Amino acid sequence: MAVLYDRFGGLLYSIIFRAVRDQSTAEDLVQETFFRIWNRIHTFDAEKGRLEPWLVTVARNRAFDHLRSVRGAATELTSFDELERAGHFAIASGPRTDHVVQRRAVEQALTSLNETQREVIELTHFEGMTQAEIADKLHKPLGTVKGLVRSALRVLREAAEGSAAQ
Amino acid sequence: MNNLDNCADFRELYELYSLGLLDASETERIDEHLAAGCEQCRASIEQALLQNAILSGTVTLVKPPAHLRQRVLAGFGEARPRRNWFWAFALTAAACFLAAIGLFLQNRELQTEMAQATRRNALELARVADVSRILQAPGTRLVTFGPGAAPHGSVFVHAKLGIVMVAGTLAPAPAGWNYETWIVPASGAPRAVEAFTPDANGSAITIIPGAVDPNSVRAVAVSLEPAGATLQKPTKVLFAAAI
Ligand SMILES: [Zn+2]
Repeated sequence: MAVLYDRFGGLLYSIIFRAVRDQSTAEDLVQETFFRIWNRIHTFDAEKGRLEPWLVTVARNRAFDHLRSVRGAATELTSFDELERAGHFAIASGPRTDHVVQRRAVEQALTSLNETQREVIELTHFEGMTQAEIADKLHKPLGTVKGLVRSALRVLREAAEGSAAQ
Repeated sequence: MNNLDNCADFRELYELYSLGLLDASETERIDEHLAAGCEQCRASIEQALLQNAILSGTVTLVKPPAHLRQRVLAGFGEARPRRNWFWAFALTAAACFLAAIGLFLQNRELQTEMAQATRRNALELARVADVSRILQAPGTRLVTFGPGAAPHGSVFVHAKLGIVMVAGTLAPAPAGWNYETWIVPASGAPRAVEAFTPDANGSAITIIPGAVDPNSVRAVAVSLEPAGATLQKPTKVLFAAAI
């Protein structure tokens, strides 16, 4: 665990802190994240799996879970358990792409989004807000928000896929 | 049901779906579609999960408070400074607390139960400390076995500290049978090491402390043994992880 913490603790803390914006809550959730990882490490296959995306997903879900319980949102969370399984983070067939390359491509693509597109992605992916909540917050019709999210995600998806295909 | 239009449309939604951010009606439609076992969408969801993780990874890094490291690792018995003192203190404190409560308890059965629970906890803590010591030691090698199959898991081998086997997807042992871990030497008969019971999730951790000569140990194996077996040799071998 010390090895895992030293390598990923900073990243996982940053993701959680970005979502909950409170140091002591973030600390609790980081601890919970490592417990969860520990309890499921047997589902991880070092030869096939991608460790970092899995750890990131577990951390982000802890943060979103917390935010939703604070907001009193009645969102069904059971699907998280299924979606967190390490087996889903298999290395895609074909040449193995360094996810650092993909991350850079996505970072680049983020800067190419317009301001509103970037804002909705910040709200969905870093703060766990639903499209309806975003519509409320930005005083925009739900349909408009959905369109913005969809077009932004398409740009980001294409950037990641493009860098993976190289 | 698995028509391409649907699947392509759904693909656009899978990032939000895996964040749990879709409307209830959209989630319901997708759940229904997935329940039918669409392979294309399964792959799409894996892509979306990865995409989300990459996006989360673009977060601006902030430095976690220094004490967090110790706090997290202490949970695994890895807090380095005065580790033994810490556990000794924690356990003594827990025992004193239970003893104090005990004075007020009329029920003897409950007292015995609590005493047993304290002992079990102490054993568990010691085990966790041993396991994490092996996992974090430099030079520990990782062997995975049975990926994709049931059961599967990982074996961690450290030449001086010992072996840790973490297995998952184990069914409960049939009535009258126990799981047993074996060491299979390069030559000679396998040696029974430890009986174990998987937890409610079908996971089990076995620790075999002590020096291991990688040249003299061929594999770690798990078998099912009838209760009261003499353990001269494995009865029903479930899997063996070659070292
Ligand atoms: Zn489909």
